[in-house]
Amino acid sequence: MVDRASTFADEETLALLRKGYIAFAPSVTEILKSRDPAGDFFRKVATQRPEPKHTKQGYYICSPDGTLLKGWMYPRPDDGTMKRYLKEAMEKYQAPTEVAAIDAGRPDRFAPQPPDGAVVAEVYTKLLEANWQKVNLARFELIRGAIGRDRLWITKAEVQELSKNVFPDSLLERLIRYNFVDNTHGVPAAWRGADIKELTIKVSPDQGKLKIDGSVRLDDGGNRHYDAKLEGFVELKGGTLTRFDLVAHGVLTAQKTAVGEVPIGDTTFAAAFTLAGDADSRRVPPLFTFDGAYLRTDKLRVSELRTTATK
Amino acid sequence: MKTIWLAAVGAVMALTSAAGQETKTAPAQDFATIHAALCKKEKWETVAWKTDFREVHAASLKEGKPIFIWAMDGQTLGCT
Repeated sequence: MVDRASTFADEETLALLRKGYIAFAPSVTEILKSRDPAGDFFRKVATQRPEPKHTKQGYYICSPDGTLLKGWMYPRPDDGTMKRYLKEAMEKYQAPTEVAAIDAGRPDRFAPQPPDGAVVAEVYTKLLEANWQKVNLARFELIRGAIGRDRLWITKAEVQELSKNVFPDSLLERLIRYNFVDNTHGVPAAWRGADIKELTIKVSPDQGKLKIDGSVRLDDGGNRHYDAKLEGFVELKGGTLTRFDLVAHGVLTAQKTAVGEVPIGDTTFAAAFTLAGDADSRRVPPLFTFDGAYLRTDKLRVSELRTTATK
Repeated sequence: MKTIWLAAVGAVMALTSAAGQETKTAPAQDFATIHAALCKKEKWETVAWKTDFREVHAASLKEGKPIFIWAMDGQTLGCT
């Protein structure tokens, strides 16, 4: 988050990367465990860093034969070091002439992959209004206005339900529990099913689209509380999902957080959804796919609440 | 000016008076404004970040360019 808001918001740095480099953004956790050419390459490069002990997090400039040209982690936020290193490495770089292509075999992936036919949506989150304690840490100041990012998988079966003008319980519960969370300053905790206290959802066909209107009240029993209004539009053409534009916004309060700082008192928090484009980031799985219940279709709290509402 | 001031006081009171209650009121903002403000490409996304090492390696060989790795806990292109 800090990098996105500082180092990689600098136009000259970005121009250097676009012009002179092949940019790789792996999951450190995954690539360190991978017993495949990608894992072998990263471990080889990372161990050439001059620091005797480091977490393997950081920035690396290397050649495709695995030779580290520069590796570092600090300063963060960047003070110009990044640009200097990028320029120096570009000027000195001589591409190795004899490097074998890597084994094209199946990569050793730990990250979950989307089920067949699933659609990927991008999820953007932001604290629209918040009050903060005064701090002297630049990185805190940087990320207070940041936009958090995650993804949502919409399964083939859920797309089929949407085509029948039905907003599926499984999809609704997934986006509430895993995406109505403040991830703007670190990895948050998901809501539990039982935290969904109240829910309304209305799907109205509107000139070829589905208009979505709803509300949800979330409460984890003492720490977090979110009262949100949900609205937006969903559109399908020939059974294909062509639009998934939703916004949840409302008052979020939290007494403590798993990571980072907590705003003082009430905040206004929003989560916005739209279909993912062609960028490679669409391959990055939603954060909570490590939770075995991510694609759950039974024993849903949303189903309980919707059933009760119709009785 | 008086209208604006009263509206501001009303918004603050809606939040303050709701403390300890179950339902709170957020300042009104419409769907289109929030969606447009959030769902936009940020500067860091103007770089063609790749996530598949095989593609990175092949591109580096083909284009004669070094590899830049951005490696942080979590996923730098997602929730981090």
